[in-house]
Amino acid sequence: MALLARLASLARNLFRKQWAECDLDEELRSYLELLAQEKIKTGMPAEEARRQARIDLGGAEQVKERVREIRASHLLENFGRDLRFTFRGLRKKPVFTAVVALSLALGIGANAAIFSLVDAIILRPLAVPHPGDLIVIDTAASRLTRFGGSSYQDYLDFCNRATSFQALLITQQVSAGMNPAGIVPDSKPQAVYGSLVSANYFSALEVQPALGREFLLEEGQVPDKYPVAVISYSLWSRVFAGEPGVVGKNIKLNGHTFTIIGVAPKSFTGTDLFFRPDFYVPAVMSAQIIANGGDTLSHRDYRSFLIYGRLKPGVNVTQAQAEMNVIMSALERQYPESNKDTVAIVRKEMNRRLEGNFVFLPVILTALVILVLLMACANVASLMLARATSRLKEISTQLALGATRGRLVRQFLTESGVLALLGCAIGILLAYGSIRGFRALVPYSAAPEGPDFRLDLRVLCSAVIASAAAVFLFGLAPAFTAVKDAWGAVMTTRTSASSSRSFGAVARRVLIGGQIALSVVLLIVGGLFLRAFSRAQRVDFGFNPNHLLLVTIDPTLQGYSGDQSDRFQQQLLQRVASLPNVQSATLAGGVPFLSGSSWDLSIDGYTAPDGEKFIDTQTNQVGPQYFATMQIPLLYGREFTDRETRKSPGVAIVNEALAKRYVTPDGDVSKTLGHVLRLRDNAPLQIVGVVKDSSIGGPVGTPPPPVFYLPYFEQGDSKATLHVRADGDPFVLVSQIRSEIAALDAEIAPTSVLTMSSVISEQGLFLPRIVAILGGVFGVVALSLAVIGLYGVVSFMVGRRTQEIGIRMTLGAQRSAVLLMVLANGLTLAAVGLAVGLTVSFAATPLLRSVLIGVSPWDPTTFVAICAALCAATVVASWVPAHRATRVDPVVALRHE
Amino acid sequence: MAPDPTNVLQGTLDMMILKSLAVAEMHGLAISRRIEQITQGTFQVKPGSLFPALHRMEEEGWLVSAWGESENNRRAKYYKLTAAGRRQLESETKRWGRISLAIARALEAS
Repeated sequence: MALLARLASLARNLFRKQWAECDLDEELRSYLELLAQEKIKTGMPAEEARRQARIDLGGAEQVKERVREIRASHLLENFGRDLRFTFRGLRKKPVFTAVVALSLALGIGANAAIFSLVDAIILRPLAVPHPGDLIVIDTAASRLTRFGGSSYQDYLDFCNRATSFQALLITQQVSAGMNPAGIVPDSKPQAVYGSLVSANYFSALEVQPALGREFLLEEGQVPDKYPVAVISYSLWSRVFAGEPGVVGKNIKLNGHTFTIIGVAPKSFTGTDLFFRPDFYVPAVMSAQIIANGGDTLSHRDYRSFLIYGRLKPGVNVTQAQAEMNVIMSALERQYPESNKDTVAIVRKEMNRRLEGNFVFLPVILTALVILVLLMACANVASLMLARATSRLKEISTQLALGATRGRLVRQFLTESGVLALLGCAIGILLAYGSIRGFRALVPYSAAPEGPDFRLDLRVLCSAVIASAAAVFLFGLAPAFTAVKDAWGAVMTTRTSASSSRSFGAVARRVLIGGQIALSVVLLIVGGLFLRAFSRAQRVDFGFNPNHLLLVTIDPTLQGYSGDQSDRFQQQLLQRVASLPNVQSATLAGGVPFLSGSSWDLSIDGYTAPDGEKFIDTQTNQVGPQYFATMQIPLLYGREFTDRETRKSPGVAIVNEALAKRYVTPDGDVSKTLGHVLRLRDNAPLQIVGVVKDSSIGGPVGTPPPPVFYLPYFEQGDSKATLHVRADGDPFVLVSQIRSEIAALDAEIAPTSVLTMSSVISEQGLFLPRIVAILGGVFGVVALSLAVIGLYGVVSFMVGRRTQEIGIRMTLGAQRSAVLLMVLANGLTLAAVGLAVGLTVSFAATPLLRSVLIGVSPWDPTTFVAICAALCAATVVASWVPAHRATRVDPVVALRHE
Repeated sequence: MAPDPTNVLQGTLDMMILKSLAVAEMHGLAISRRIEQITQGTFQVKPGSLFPALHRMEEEGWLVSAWGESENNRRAKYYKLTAAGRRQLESETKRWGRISLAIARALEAS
């Protein structure tokens, strides 16, 4: 009711000034009239009565002016006064202002940063219309996994048989050498990353090209007939300078001419958060882009495509899953050799992400974010409470002088608003800084991959809302209480309210104690994450990942035969090996953490206890000097040599794990040499060397599986990765290697250029790294908040007790005694908080076992270090104000009241 | 000690207006007459302070106003107490009670 009246008046004043003016005129006229009537009744002549009434009114204009003043000034002036008052108050209390603003800034900054991180890693919807409707179909060959690509043949059958879907589309990540010379003269071939897609890719995703057109349906039907490509907005602006004329022009991909038919819109970066393709080519053109591309299309067991789709209206995921189950059973009966035991899994795209590796992340993060926000709020609340209490006297005075309650609350609101704005501004700066930090932490990669961190509008909005809510909820509640208290205190002398048993004081102590406890928990979790990361970083991979450049080349994409390709690779290897700054160079089919293959192998003389002859092993095809280049120690025997070609008898090198487990169970690994391995097709391979175990992939810290190595030039397919050990920064070699490649064949471009350390950072250390960043950020924020909070409370306490301290010192208390008294006050709080925090941590950290690879959840180093750090921080936070207390001048202190 | 009838403390004026309106809705002149009546002429409210006060209190949300007919069929603007106004009156009354009691005691104590 009051609110409505106020709004009505506001509307009158602001929008209908004229009307309000008339109203006032009329009111005064009616008043005059009534006054005159009154006088006439007493027997005064009408004329005289009107004159007297006007005299009584005392000048209509003056009255009107005063009313107008009151109206106009009311809102604006009050606001201006509140603002001035706020600024004056905040300037007078710089510690209070800084502490509240910093607490908020840390809370908001951390939240915005973490939201951006989670957004970039997992939560950002794909940039397509209705992203929530997208589904993904995985094909899994065993019950152990719920993830896996599908084959092109299966995809065609899904499209023909399934009725649940509006559309199904496929994509596969590929890399290719691109030569843009047809459009940009004098440009060099370069590696680009793209997707093989079905022709309905853009239409099914409902994405309109920014330029040109999307694929026609027939371009996705006839293999090898329509060499057309849509390029990404990023590639368009990067390589083609945003030239609209590129549509219709030709580029070369892996030496094959493709016509650019369109440019994808800027916002669209593909269907994977971590991979932003630069070109899209119809899947039926696979043979031009990837080696054995034709097989990819024809073999039902080449499961390299990921299927996305949209459900028909009215069909839900369960119904679609049921239909897919029927179709998969039919396919299994029809094609038992390729489709035995395979299942299709239909999931909403977002649910599939959440089911992936990072499933624990959102949960932990949300918990941490809430904790940090709570801590920031606790700081704000305890400080506002403290301030409100200390202002009790001032508020009482204001009330006694006729200020209304609403007026006082408005004043608090203004103050809270200014603080919120200040905190929010600093917080956004902090968030912006941390996001730049995150970006810097993503290791360099030639490919457009990895998380894309950005501070977007959603994040900003949530930060602003969070800060506003924090201040208004946690700042106003104490303000209201204070106003209410002040009413009681108006006529009493209880204005100093310094009793430590008052509600405010107790609440403040509980808040700060709880906050210290929370920060202990966060610090310990953060510390454990950091330990896990440093443990993961120091993991011995069994090879030296530093200064190792990886250049992948596939000459068969240029139409080379297998022998021609071998010759090219051998020549290139020789040229590269003789470059300056190259320690050694080799090539291999697979790269640890990036690509590899597994193989069923039998070993002469070995049968598993269950009678199975074959063992599951990992394999790699490697060139001469591979182990020297990788710096994997050779235990026995020799490396492969140049002489091991496609025609020579089979040889193999095995790792220690394979030798120990299957060849020489008695433990004498040296006897491994000379044993014979057989592949599935029974080709005998003589073991000529044993090497130390080294990582080939998987989560960092897991023991290496059995691995055998084959000579590259004996077994290799045509795609090889040049491994170059450089003397220093491996990237300085890139241009030299490019020119060596160009010297052999100007049309060939490497399909990828990476460093081993970036591969490890991205593939192997990604999870520990992210977790460690989070742990670090949260730990530091938590500690800062707790220290700020403690400092604020102890400072406040010192301020409240200035008089008491003054009296004590007048009566002869030693400075040290005062110091101790104040210190004890802060440290008691800290000790209680620490005890509670430690207890909670002991109970909670075992929940994180799955993330803490190689670190005990009760890692004593972390616990002790955190306790020490917290103790040191609380001592400092209490000592500074305590020290100030000892500087109190008794005379000033006594005059304080 | 004769009080200066024109000089009404602001806080007091608000209270008087609220008190007058607690009984019934009134127009400006009726309010000032009512105040004169209940204070037995101690306070005379001049239009120069009455109207600003009324408008201020309307801004505060304690009063609402509406045009109506006066007893002798004249148009007049009537003011009415809102819930907030009633609360305000209550707290002002309490406050005033305490203040006057305190002052009375202080003076008696000599």
